[in-house]
Amino acid sequence: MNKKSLAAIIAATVMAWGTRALADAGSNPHSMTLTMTIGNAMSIHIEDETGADRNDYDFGSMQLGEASVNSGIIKIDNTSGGLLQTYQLSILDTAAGMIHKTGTGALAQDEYRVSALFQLNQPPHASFDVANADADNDIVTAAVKTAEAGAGGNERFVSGTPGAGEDGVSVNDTDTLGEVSLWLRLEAPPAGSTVSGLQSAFATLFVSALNQ
Amino acid sequence: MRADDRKRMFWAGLLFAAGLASTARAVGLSTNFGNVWVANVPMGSTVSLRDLTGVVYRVTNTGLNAEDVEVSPIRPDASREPVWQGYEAIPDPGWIRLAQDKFYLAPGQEGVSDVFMNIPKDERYLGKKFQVWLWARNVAKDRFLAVGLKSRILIQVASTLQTQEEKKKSEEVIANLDFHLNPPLISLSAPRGEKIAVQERLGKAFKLINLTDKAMRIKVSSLRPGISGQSAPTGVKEGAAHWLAPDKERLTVEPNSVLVIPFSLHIPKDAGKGKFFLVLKADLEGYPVPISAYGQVIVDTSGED
Repeated sequence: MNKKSLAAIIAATVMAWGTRALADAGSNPHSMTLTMTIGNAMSIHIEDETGADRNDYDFGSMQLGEASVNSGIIKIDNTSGGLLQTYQLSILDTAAGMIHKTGTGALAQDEYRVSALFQLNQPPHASFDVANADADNDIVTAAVKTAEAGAGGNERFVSGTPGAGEDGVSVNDTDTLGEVSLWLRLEAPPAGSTVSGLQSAFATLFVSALNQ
Repeated sequence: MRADDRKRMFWAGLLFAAGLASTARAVGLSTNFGNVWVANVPMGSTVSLRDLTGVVYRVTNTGLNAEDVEVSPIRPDASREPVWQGYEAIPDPGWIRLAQDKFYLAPGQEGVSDVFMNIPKDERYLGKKFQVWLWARNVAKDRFLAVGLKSRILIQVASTLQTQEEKKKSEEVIANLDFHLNPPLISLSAPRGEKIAVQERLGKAFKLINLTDKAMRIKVSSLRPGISGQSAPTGVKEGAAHWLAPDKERLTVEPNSVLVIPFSLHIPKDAGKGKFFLVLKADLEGYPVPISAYGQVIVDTSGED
């Protein structure tokens, strides 16, 4: 083949290639570039009933063997720009004299347990059921657990059928539904335990937000 | 009250009241990373999101007090956490790294970090989609409540084994050699259930042009669609690689000449009627980096029985 013929073929193929390249640039491996797309920003805040920021909670004085549910509101506020958030809970146990119980059943000496529920109003103690085999869903552990609405005992950090946006699942960021209330039940070590006196900074409860 | 009763009564005042009353310290975080999609992440080299996209990870302390904040890549636990549809949990969160993962942030202050990705060079990960969390959280000390934000990072691994450096080199070589198949796409109609020599029966074949003064040695093969960015157009189904077969696996393109690459098709009877997408790949041999050209074939079996 002479150079003139070769040039004609090249010209034809370049024209064809040019058209194709414009139509199909995304699938050409030689034009592939890393691309990045960012959805909305996300944000979380914890507040008290007045809207003031909250990062601690005082359970007050308790007796050995007693349980207490917070009476002051702990509000988890989705302050994202339009994202639905689901919440996760976990505990970092820092108590030197107490032992963090992460399962069901009776507490042994010096053991304490924290359970949690997301709902609008303060739940009774019975809502935090830690006696049944399937009831450990409400117990906060060192491993991260995600709030889950459901039925038949599969709910996690949820009791009964709370209203939409009140259960820590797919919470939106509007004013009315952007805040969910978190209720914590602290079970003190049983009678006969050796711990006594002020137990400050015995654990840190992490509330983490996930995007839906 | 007896002394032992008193001990039982006052087991523990879990008191954080002083802190609350005096300072009302805040707890809150925000980040610019909500859901983040990163596509075509190359394997075998470290990728900087800042360098390639100009985007950095930002976390802001939205509270009223200074906070220690830590950020970690975390593998999703698929049994407990939602994994984005079509994605799977990243095999190793160590593939993701932040330039800075610990911050001490004043109220309103922003921590900024580049995010690096290093996907191992392994065929198993070609084109795979992985999810990883970037978990920003307070490093809470001496208090009961802390917050965290889990940004969902969705990574699509590039569908080529080339590293960034290899890709750059191969692009330079390709630009110099003008190494590509012509035409880039062949559309044809073919019957099912018989082997068709496409050039003989339909007069169609791919061509390679060598404008250099050196011979080119090439290896030709049929490629599974979906690999190396070769995906079927809308409305066209992906065919199996073995439906297309080049007549010869190894060929030489003489200097300043055009080489015809004949191939045959064998669409099975049970493939059904419709349009199918197939890919022919030509690898240039004798170069230190992989250099490939692709030819796409769309076979229409609608009118044939």
